[in-house]
Amino acid sequence: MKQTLFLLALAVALITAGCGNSDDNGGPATTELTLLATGTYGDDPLVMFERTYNYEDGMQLQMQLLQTYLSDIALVYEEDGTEKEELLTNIALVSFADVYTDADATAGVEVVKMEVPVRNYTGLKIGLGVSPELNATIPPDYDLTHPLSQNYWEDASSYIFFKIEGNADLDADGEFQEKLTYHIGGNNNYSSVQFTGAIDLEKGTPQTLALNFDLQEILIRQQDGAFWDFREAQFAHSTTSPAAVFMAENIPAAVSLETR
Amino acid sequence: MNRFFGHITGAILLFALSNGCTQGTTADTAPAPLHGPEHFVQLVDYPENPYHPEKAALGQMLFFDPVLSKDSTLSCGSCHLPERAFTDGKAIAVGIENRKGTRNAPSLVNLAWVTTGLFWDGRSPTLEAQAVHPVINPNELGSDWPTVLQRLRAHPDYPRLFERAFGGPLEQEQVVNALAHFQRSLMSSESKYDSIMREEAAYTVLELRGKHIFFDSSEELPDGECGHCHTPPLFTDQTYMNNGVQEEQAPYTYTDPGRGAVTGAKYDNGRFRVPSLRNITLTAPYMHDGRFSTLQEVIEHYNSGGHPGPNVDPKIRKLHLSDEDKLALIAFLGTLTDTSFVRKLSDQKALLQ
Repeated sequence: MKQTLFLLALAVALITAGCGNSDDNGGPATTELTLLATGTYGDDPLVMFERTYNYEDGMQLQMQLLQTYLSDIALVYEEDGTEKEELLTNIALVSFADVYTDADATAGVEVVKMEVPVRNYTGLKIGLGVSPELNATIPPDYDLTHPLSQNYWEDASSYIFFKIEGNADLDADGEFQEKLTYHIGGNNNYSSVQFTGAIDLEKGTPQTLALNFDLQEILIRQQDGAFWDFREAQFAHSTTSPAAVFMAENIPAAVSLETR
Repeated sequence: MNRFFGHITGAILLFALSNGCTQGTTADTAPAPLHGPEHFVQLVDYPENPYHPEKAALGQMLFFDPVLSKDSTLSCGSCHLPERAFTDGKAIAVGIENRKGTRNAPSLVNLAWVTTGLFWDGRSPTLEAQAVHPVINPNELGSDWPTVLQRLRAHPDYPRLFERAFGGPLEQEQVVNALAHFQRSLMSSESKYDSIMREEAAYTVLELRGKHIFFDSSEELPDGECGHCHTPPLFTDQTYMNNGVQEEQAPYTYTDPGRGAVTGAKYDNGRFRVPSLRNITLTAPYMHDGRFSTLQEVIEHYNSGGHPGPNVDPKIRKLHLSDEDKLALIAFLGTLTDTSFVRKLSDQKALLQ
């Protein structure tokens, strides 16, 4: 009997000692993390319909849709000298279609909201588009609630990673009659980014991160000021379209991360 | 009297077809998940009204039974005829006492996949919620639910059939659940297009040209911009769109506000549900108000770029299609006709009448 009690006490002691980072249920301590997506056009909030954005050569732009897939979103941390990842989700579909006001734009669109193990993370990784692994799948592989049950380009064997749709005024006459429809997909247009910086998650303290897409930087290359000339092509429907490739190349530099 | 016996005979046959081995008075109402074809996105269970084929068979009886209308002259099937892929051939649906509705009767094909609302404006979130309305709409069946329930409960067969299918009393909830079941079971996936996808058939030269125009998949041909919204295999992306079909009266103001009347967002004014193009050759006239009698007229509309407006979709633009391009598009659209679906449902309807 004494031996049994001793073993029981030992077990309790070991469990207690071994779970210093645990919550009341015995699992690792967690806190709520929300990842939002926001949109801007330079310094201005990205708003559908209501805002007019100045573009190059006197052109102007009004937006109706910005939509993007994000893949393999993971927090990064170090353990035993090795970089490890805490996967938040392997795929998310983000649409700014219903962002009608500056307040909507500031509030952002929820990408993922979940309990995450409490740690001192060192960064966040995000795939911009649909990862090649997932891009090899097709909508019938999923049920109709899954983000990848839609937006598939059968002829290109690819999901449409990004949609940029709106109207342009090309000649400064105040009429936005030129239709812009840039759809970007294909593994050649997939990229990933890693944001490095402390993301310290503490138990009981919900944390919010905001991933911003700057549309201006997608359309106008930061390094040399090269821009996609709407007068050249107002739509892109293929994986190799020059407009699609140009914009896809700019996307990694057009995203930024902030802690709220 | 003949109609009455027809209904009963049809009901017996349909129940036999739906559950041929069931004996006794109570059906095995254990859910039997609804499955779609392999090349469609997978369906999810709907736990609020778990699927069972016997409930769908009962819903089919109700769907074609004029008992649901105020004067017992019309049924759901009066405006949703199987032989027309569940449309009626009229620009605007006509209800009891020849009352004109407000919009075109939409096709009811592949509704099991609809997740973004029913009706042209998406005002009902589910088939169950949708099924309540036509019964009481004064311009459709024009009845009221107490009357409908009274008639069904006094019917020589329905109480027993409801008891058998649902294992409980005959209430409004069971009636709309049965109707929703039947509509959820309407799957059309055996067109020539589907056969081609399975590599069991091939496009003609004209159809293939039309397919490339439809999906913007050839650099030698103009883009039709159709496949953005009419995405396969459902041939709808389930969104709401202003396709420039209505002339704007003032900014964001239209004769029929469509989706905007539901959401209250002015940006949704003039937007309507993107309909599936499956069986499109059978569902004329077209658009929410049936303004186009033929597919030629529809294509002329899109080729013209439609009426301008701030929320007209950017994909609606002048297409510069040649006459041959237009014929090719119509030829491709013809490959979406599923005669086996139409024939099967028409035959079943005949059994019920």
